[in-house]
Amino acid sequence: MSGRLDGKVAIVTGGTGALGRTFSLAFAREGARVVASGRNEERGAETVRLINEAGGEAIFLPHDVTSADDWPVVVDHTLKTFGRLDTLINNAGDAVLKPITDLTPDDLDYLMRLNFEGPFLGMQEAIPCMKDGGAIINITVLSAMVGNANSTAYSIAKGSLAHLTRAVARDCAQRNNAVRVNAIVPGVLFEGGVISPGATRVHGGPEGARRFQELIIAKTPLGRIGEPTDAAAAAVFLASDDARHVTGMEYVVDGGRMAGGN
Amino acid sequence: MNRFDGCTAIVTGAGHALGAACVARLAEEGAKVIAAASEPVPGAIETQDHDGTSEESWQALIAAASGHGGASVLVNADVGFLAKPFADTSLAELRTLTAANVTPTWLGMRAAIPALRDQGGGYILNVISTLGKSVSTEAAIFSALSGGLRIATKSAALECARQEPRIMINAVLVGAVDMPLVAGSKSGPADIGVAPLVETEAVAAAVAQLACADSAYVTGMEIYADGGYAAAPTR
Repeated sequence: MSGRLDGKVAIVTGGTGALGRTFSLAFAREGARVVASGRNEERGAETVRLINEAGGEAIFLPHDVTSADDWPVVVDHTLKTFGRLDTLINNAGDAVLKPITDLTPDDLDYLMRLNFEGPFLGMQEAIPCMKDGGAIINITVLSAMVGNANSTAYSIAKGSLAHLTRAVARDCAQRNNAVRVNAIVPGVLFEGGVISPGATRVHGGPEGARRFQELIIAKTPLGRIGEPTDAAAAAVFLASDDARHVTGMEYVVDGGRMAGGN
Repeated sequence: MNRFDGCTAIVTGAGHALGAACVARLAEEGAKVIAAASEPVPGAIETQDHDGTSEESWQALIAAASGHGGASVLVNADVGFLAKPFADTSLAELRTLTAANVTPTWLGMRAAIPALRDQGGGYILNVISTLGKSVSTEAAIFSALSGGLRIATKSAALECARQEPRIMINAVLVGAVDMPLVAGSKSGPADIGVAPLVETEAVAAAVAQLACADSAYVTGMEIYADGGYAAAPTR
């Protein structure tokens, strides 16, 4: 199998979820060896099984990205198993969508730990282990670029990650190993255009999810919900040598919403 | 790699390093490429002399592509650079820069949109300088026109997004690359030293990424192949 990521090793946090699994499978298909990390061992094992079935190489590692103790274990285990580390996809994350008046300090704390501190810890641990061609890919959200209703705390966490991405990109450009640091900004992406159970919960049940879906289709110039594979194609590019001059960038995969400022 | 199997692409500016690299990359990935250049271009299935400021010349390019299955991809890599500060630039030089950068890309998009729709949709990719985002005083009007092209790319993308069959229109913003000099420019982008040097092959790789189904849900977007310059222009 010859691919654009031959010889590379990637850690995908949240490799247990739909988007993380899609990243993991796409990376394996392009020749990378993959560490899918996460909290749900059963779902992690399923990601590994799917990769193996397609002829790829992968392991699952239990991982709480908010734990400063877990990160060195995950990175060490990756290096011991596969001998190198080329790409870290900080994919694990979550949303809490509520009016600012209903948000609690605990909500903010949860969102900051998962969406901002996790990637921060990950970059600190991973970057020194990377050689030339290393790449960090952070996953942000349109609410990190523009304001959105019910997204104040989520925007703070993801907006901070977006700006951290630019800062670390610059920091890394001055280092010898010149690791590239970019973000993928997905719009609304669901397999087959069907909103997942998790996202249905976030939007307050099936009725809320249906309204959300209608709103997104109306707001999206390309007129549809995207697929996780659309973001995976962006990730493969950013991790590959094709992107060797690309750093500090936000790769927007949103059906054209940001092009019109929304 | 076969992201362009069965696809016919038009690449302009193919007589220079930037366009030639795009021809090579798309051909390597399976595209039949019509190259706009005065001399045969390696990898191209056909090379045609082309004046990007002439509507007739554009129609001739589209017709040439029709002879090879019809174009579903257009890469506008026709650019021209002038290193000159704002106050020193004459109106004649401004018009030369406009004719070298804006007119070909605009006419190209206009000619290609109906042709690509005839093929069931496709991809248009504009190669623009990163100085369209982070202005250079060393190349003031070139920067300004590059900025205008960025916005024109997004406008065209929005116009085409809601209409079936869909055409995705994106841009690659490049750092200092080898590009044609116009109006007697004494310096190239690399000489004025404002953005990092970038290999034309890496620009072509980003062009390929945005000109195929990998970007089916991406439109009005920009890849910055500029060594991080737009993110941190003052390095």
